Amino acid sequence: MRKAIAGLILIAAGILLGLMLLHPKAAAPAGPVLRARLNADIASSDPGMKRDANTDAVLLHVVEGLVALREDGSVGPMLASGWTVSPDGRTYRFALRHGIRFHNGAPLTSADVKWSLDRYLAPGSRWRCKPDLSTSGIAAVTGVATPDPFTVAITLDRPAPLFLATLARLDCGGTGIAHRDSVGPDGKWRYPIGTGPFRWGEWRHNQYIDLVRYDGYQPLPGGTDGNGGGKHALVDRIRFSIIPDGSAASAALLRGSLDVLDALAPNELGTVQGAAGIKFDSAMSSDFYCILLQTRAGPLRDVRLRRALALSLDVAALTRVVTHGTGIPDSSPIPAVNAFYGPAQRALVTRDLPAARALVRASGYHGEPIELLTSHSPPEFYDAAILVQAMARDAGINIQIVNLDWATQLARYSSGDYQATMFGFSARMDPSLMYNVLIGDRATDPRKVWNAPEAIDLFHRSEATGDRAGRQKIFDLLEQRFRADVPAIVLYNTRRVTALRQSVTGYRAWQAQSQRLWNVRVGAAR
Amino acid sequence: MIAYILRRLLLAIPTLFIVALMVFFLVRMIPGDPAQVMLGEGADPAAIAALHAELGLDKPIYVQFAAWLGHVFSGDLGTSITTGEPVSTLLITRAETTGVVVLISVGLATLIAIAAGTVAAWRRGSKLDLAVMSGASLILAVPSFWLGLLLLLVFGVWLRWLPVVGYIPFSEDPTGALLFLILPIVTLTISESGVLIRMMRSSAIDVLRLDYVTHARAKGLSERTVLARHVFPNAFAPTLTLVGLTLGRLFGGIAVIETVFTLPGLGRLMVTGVLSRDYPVVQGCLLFTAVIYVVVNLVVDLLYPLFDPRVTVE
Amino acid sequence: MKRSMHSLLGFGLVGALLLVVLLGFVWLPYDPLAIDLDHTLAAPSLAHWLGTDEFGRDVASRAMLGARISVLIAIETVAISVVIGTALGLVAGFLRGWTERVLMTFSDALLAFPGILLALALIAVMGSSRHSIVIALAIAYLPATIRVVRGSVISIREREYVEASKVAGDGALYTMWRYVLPNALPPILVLATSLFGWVVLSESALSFLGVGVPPPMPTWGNMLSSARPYMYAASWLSIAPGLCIVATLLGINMLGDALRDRLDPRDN
Repeated sequence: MRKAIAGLILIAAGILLGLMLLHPKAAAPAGPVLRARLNADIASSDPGMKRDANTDAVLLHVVEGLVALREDGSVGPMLASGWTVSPDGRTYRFALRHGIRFHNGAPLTSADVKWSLDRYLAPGSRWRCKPDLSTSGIAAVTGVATPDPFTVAITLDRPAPLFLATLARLDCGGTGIAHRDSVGPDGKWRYPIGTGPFRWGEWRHNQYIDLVRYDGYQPLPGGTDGNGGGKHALVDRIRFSIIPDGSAASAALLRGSLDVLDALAPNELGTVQGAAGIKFDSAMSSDFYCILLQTRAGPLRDVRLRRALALSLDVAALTRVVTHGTGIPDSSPIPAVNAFYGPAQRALVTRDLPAARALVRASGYHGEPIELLTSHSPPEFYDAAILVQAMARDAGINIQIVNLDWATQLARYSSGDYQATMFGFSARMDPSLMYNVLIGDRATDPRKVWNAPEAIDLFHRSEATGDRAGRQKIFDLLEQRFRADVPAIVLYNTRRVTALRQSVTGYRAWQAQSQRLWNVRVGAAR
Repeated sequence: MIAYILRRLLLAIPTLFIVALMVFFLVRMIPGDPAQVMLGEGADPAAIAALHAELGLDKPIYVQFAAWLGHVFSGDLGTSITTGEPVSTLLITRAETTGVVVLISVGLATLIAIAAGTVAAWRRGSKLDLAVMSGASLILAVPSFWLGLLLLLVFGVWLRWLPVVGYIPFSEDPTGALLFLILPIVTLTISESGVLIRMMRSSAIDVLRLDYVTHARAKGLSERTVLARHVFPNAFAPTLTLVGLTLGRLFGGIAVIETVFTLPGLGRLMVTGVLSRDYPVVQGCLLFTAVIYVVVNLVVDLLYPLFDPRVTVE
Repeated sequence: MKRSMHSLLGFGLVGALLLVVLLGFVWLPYDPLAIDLDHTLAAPSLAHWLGTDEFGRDVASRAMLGARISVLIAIETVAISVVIGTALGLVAGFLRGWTERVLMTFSDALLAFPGILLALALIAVMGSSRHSIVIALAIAYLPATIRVVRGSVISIREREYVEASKVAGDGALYTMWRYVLPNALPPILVLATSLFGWVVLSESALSFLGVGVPPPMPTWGNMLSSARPYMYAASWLSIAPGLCIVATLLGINMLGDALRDRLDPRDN
């Protein structure tokens, strides 16, 4: 019997030992390392193709495009030192900077740019911006020419004032130019060989991604300016550790195993605030969170009921509670930090219960349950849904919360299968891009909630107009229509909070929500 | 003996097959599309369709099942839809975490149960027995995740003796890892000891009444010898069965504890797999835990005769 | 003496639970769904006996409503599981042979699933609602019920009155209904009380994981889940719902023990 117990213990020990030996060891990086965090593993190392927000943020340290977003959301030079637009607005000539080399030492030429662009626009490619640069988008690319090694000429089928902004979009990988050796002889993507201040190091799935300083980097003059400007790799290595759980990440930061904690969840703020050795940086994001409404069927197809719902909400209080004081209430699809956010957009839709109740009565609503979809990702959705339900109840609107997981919620959003759903749209720099997520023909794209002909028309005009004042007028008109039609109720913009160890200097959060680790230094004291 | 082992294993196969079938179809019945989740909210339908083809999601379901089964028998459990990692690697890494916690906890709980249960049975009706039984009853009434939360609250938040969250793989740094594992192990040990104590006590009571115990005492053997050499081995058998069931159950079943302590274990892997429609991960995990369940119970059945000579392996 | 104290305590706790549930039908200190954004995360006080949560809702009222919901879910789940499990266990244990083999293989297959995940997957298919939780948990506990019933049926069918019934030429169904079932009731009853406790526990675990009853309805499990981010700021939110679960389970377990002692005096 004693032997049996001994045997059992031996077996258990053997299993443990075996597991230990099988487990791949993660080597600790040597030299000054900047340790950052991602809340999920990246989708791929191929910019703009298979991606999500984390993927974009990491890859934009490694690749650069012809142009890049500036801090204020406008478009500035990156690999191109400048560009000219033909009088008919259809051809863009980019002059490439001289002396730029890829991470593998090859010099940047127009042929490389053409190779990357052709790959993005190829028929089978999954480039995020391909639909935008097609006939059904803002303009189709009819040709990419390379008149000389340092000039690239892109021709479109029609003038498109948003062309450069599209090239600079983060979710399209910044149209980053990669060297053709990034693709193996078998045609499969290997890893990005770009021109950025960091080169690709190691990607250990679900654990971390290492980027290494690229010593041959040629920075633009100046300091941090969006995704462009002067970018300097001030550390030898960046390690993006993948820590999905918010509280685990906070704990890691407090313990000293993280230097930069990006995207600190609002409900984690309390844990980290006031801790020794921690400081914060934050910036309002160019995003918005809203309730999307089903205008085709169900009780909400009556605009009076939609307006009643909007008027029953105390957006300011909701924002304060749900974002733990970090967000800012916003009733317009245009984020508050955007340049086009003017008086028309600033007017907040405030709670007016008598008006709401009157509208409810007028619409003939008799208390039928209205389903509001929500999930726990992010937790603010869930909290907001509960508040919306409680506030709407005061106006006599009966909301039923359906709590789904993110996958199901996303599926139902994509198929338009909901009466109302909480939703959020990540940072987009141009108001047209924001309206783009809302406006469209529901028959062809069920995700679009707003298909009023006037809205569609105004939207296309906003894309086609380059003149600032003209665009502001269009957006103001759109704002008016939006508040009258209520296809969605915008609630707030978020503030992106990043927690840092005191020894980290140079970090700046910005409205595009991505973490930027160039120009960031880690001091000696940890 | 070998024949018996083989026969038991063979009998397990139809069970495992039905499990695999259930899992496969169940996961697919869940609404939602993994390709959609991976590509995000702005993706266009063409990209989603392309990803479907790439992941093999566009083939008829029986083809997918047959393909998956074929791969399983050749040792390939597929790759995770969300991370692209091979499922087998994922399983091993996660199983390590869960395994460490489960094995240590159940081991400790068993030792506690043997000691407490035997002594309580021996001193039946006394205050000690009352204390042990009340303790076990209390343990059975406390949800494990709440116990974990309370321990976190006391030791992590109020006293700040132990870290609230975090994890280091055991193989990387055993001592560091243990710091994070103390609370989950304590929680699970306490939670599981309740039912084991009761079982041990109950069977010890039965054995203490038997003739050969009286004989042993009459022979002049000390109480300690009687308890250790005659009572315990024979009383342990049913508890051993329970330990086996517990081990099998906990490998997938500590999802809640892993959530409270944010441990990257098998349970949480399955939960996130279900929530993100990562079919290969969920299927692989379930198969893995089902196999563990069958194997553990087989081992228990084989060890049983060592403790209860009345039972023979037929 | 210890035994009667145990059962007394058990009765007391369960009685208190039922009282709270019944009281909740007619009176609650506050509206459990009413938010009060100016008084969020208030510590327990005379105004709010158990404090308020992150939306200013009264915790005591929510705990009382949660009691009602948990008890109802448990009753429904136990009822369904016991009825179906008894039927299947009866058939398996009485008819034996291939019927038993097939039934038990399916039952064992269900057992090999980690219960939490089975419930999770079923709820994900059916959507998060009270009904789906009940069905999911009923299915998850079916194998246990079948096993217990089958076990006792196997020994019951050897008894004389069953033999007599067979000799008299009674049909299988009649024998099962008239002779086997009534004698199998005691262990079924004991199982039902244990099941009740397990279901309350499982339901709170599922709510804790976030797949339980949809908001804003409170259950003790989802109250604990929402309390997690506020462990530093408002620890009482993590304590009260847990105590409710413990008290309930303690009472039920003690009651179950007392029942087992009455019906199966072997442990004497």
